[in-house]
Amino acid sequence: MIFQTLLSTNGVYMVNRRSPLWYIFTVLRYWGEIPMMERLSKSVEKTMEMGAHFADARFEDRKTATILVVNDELRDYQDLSNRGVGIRALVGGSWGQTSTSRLDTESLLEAAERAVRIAKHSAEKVKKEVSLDSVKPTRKSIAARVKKNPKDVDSESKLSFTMDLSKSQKVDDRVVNTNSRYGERIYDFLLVNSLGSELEWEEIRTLAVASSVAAEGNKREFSYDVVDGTRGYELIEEIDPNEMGEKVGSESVELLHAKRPPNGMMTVVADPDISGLLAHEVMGHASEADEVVKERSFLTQMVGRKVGSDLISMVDDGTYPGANGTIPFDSEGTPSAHTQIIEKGVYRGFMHSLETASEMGVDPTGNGRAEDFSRRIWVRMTNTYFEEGSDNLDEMIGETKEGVLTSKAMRGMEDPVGGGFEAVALKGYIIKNGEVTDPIPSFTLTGSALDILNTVDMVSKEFKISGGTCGKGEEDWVNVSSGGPFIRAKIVVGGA
Amino acid sequence: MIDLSSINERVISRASKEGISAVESFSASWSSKSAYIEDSSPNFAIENQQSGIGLKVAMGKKVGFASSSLEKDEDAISALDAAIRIAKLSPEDSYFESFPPTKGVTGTVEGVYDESIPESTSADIMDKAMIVVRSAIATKGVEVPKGMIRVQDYEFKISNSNGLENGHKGTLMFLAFSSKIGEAGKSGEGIEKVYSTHLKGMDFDSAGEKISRRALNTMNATPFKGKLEAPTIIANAEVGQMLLSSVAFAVSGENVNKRRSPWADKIGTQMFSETLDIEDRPLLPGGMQSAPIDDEGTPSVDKTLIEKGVLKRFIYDHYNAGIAKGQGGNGFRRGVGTIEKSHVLPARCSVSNLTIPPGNKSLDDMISELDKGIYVEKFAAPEVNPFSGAFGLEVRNAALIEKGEIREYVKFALLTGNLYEGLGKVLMIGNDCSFGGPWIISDSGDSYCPSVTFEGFQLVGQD
Repeated sequence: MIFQTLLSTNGVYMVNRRSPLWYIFTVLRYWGEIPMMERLSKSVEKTMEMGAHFADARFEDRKTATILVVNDELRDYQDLSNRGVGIRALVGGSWGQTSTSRLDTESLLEAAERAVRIAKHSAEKVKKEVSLDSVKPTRKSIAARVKKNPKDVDSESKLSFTMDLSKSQKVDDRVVNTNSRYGERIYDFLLVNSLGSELEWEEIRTLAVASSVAAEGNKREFSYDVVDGTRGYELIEEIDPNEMGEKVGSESVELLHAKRPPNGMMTVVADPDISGLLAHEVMGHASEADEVVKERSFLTQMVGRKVGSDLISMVDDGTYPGANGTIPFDSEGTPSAHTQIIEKGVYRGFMHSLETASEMGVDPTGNGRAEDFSRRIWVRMTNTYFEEGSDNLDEMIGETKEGVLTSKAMRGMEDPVGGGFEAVALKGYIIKNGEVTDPIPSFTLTGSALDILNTVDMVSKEFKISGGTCGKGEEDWVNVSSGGPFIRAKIVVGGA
Repeated sequence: MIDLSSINERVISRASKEGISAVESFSASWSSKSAYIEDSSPNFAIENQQSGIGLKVAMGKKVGFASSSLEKDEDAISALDAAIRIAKLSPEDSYFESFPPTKGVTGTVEGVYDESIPESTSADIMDKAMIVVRSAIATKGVEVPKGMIRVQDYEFKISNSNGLENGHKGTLMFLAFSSKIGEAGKSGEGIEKVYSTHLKGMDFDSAGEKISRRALNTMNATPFKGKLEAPTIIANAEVGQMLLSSVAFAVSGENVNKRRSPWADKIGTQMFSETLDIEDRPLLPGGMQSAPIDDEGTPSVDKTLIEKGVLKRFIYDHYNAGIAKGQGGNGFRRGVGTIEKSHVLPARCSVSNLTIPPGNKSLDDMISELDKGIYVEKFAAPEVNPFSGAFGLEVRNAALIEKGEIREYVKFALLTGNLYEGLGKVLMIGNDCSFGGPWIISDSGDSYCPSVTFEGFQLVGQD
């Protein structure tokens, strides 16, 4: 519709949710304003006039809806909207950035001027020069590839799904608390840079989470499941909320009688969640080239060298269909890519932003990402995983005399400098004489990542990747996924 | 600048005209300046200025929430429309009663606003960051691959249809630096994070010295082999983080009401050592979460949660206080590390500044009194299972103590144990309280704790 296009080029979306009066009001509000893409171009031109060597301006409109049900009662239904523009200017090797939620031309030009002033302040003190002149400009418009846009689904259906996902967790009187969450995230981006790129794209994600707490006497245990991805409401429709909820409820009850986890170095059959954390937290973060150019990564001098057993291959793939970390472009407008990091145990290379690619003389890989328009861009992962092997899980367990099988992850922590691995499994099982026996509650896995990868002797055909968010340090959260096959290795296990 | 009070007033008046009897409006504006260091040199600086609004409306017991960034006044009205639309289609919340009533604010809080922060530019902040760098690289071989300082000044206003109108202004400073020494294969990293309400008085030289010392220690650390059970000193900030991931969960009125808390039926029970008190102190001078009101406008009151080891009370936001007939004042939206996005979610039950009052021993005293022990200065991520208290944490800066002295630094090891059991076996409490920052998983609630010596934990290394 022409009317809809007019409004959306002014950075105003959700027009189909509004009343006719609202449309009229909005047109009056932006009367005389030029479209957002032009405002971004003018801002970039301003930075160049003021002496920037490179600049870009990114408009973001992020809309999020969340439904949270606790103990079968609606706890929250939220609708969030966050819009703004971030402008970056590069002078020599120094970056200045400003961001604002005021979107009129005058405010953006003022923000552009400030970005250059900020960059200039440090330009003389920066040792290195950054040149991005070789970056190829792109002009493209990409809509999210979803079958059913969540904004076209009525709220009653979303509520009903979330209620069912809560109710089904109550498999037993010992399940004392049930929680379910539905989420949708619809993000629109416009980006202009000084090299002539003009991009417009959309990202849509949906999410379902179930978590239960079971109690008996003084003991309480917890389990969860998450399904998410860069998919529309069809992802939710493919979930059987009863099956998902019952499984989570049963898992929390099972853990009430779990035995104390063992401590020490042992054979671990790591499930895709835990193997994914090893890929993401240690090998992935240390392969982010901004850590490498600073020589902060333990993998800095490792290209072409053996870092693991021949069974290990690893990629970061921002093009993986439907995964949570999939993006058409990164926050600098570089198309996402499939980047080989480890191939048959040999370390192949790094993930890049525009700046690190320029510094190392290679092509950018579409990994320059920011949490939103107000945060800086870092080199970040997308979907990071080990590639599948040729073993099957039953064989891997059958050939393990004594060890532990992990099941689901709670969290992991990066260590790009030391190469140390730390992950917390939600639960696991003792393996004895080739059979899965008693369940064990949450425990930690640790050790040197390279030592672990060198002991990998089996890799499964079974493969799964799961979504989540990743912080650089403890901030700047972006959507990612990680995973892979089951892998068998020697790892230090610790639990209490 | 957007006038937050007038926006709240406009929203409430508009809601009233539409027949909405109960509405709560939280609006905030903030200015943020950050300076980033890479390779011991300035690299990136950011200045942001933003505003936002979060609105909760109730139609009887049907409740809806919406939030929006604020470009113009009309964004608030759009958010109100969205909140009303959600409330209309939401089922009734049988527990919802009202928004907080108007009450006089009696508490005062010192040291939460540093006027030098709004006066600073990102260039000034970059200059401070370079002081940290120069101090760190004064040690031969040490580099600073990355670091950042961010300062924020903010204001929020909270109003509701009961006539409540309150507000607060504050400042925040966050410093995070990482140093490096050595080559791949034999290298060490030193990390320092500081959370404060002040830029003025901050010792940037000391932060630089700390990261260089820690880098040297980790470079010289040896992989720990086997297992060791011995008295364990855990450094102040790490104790705080462990409490935030466990005790803060267990004392949350929401978790008690929803039967998630492992302490749901334990009021009056002797839980821990008689030497141990744990407090929640929203009026703590200089506290990151300190304010005369919480983020729902309820006046702040300091509370003792654990007294001489006995569980005395839980903490509540207004909603959960209504269910439990308890006292509100712990409804929070503000983060500890950043004020950004404080408007995007409704208030949640959370601790403010979770505190263990200081003991009378310095860290050096505690080390000197151990014949054999473990000292953990930094974990990779200090997280405790909130249901059971169990933990297994990778140590990043840790040392073995022998005959009252640090013998050697160790790495590639897990400290395992149960914090709830450990709090019943406290040997010594230090006098070195410090702000620990938010728990890594959730930027909600800060801690102000001393270093503590526990019994019963085990260090597990490679065989």
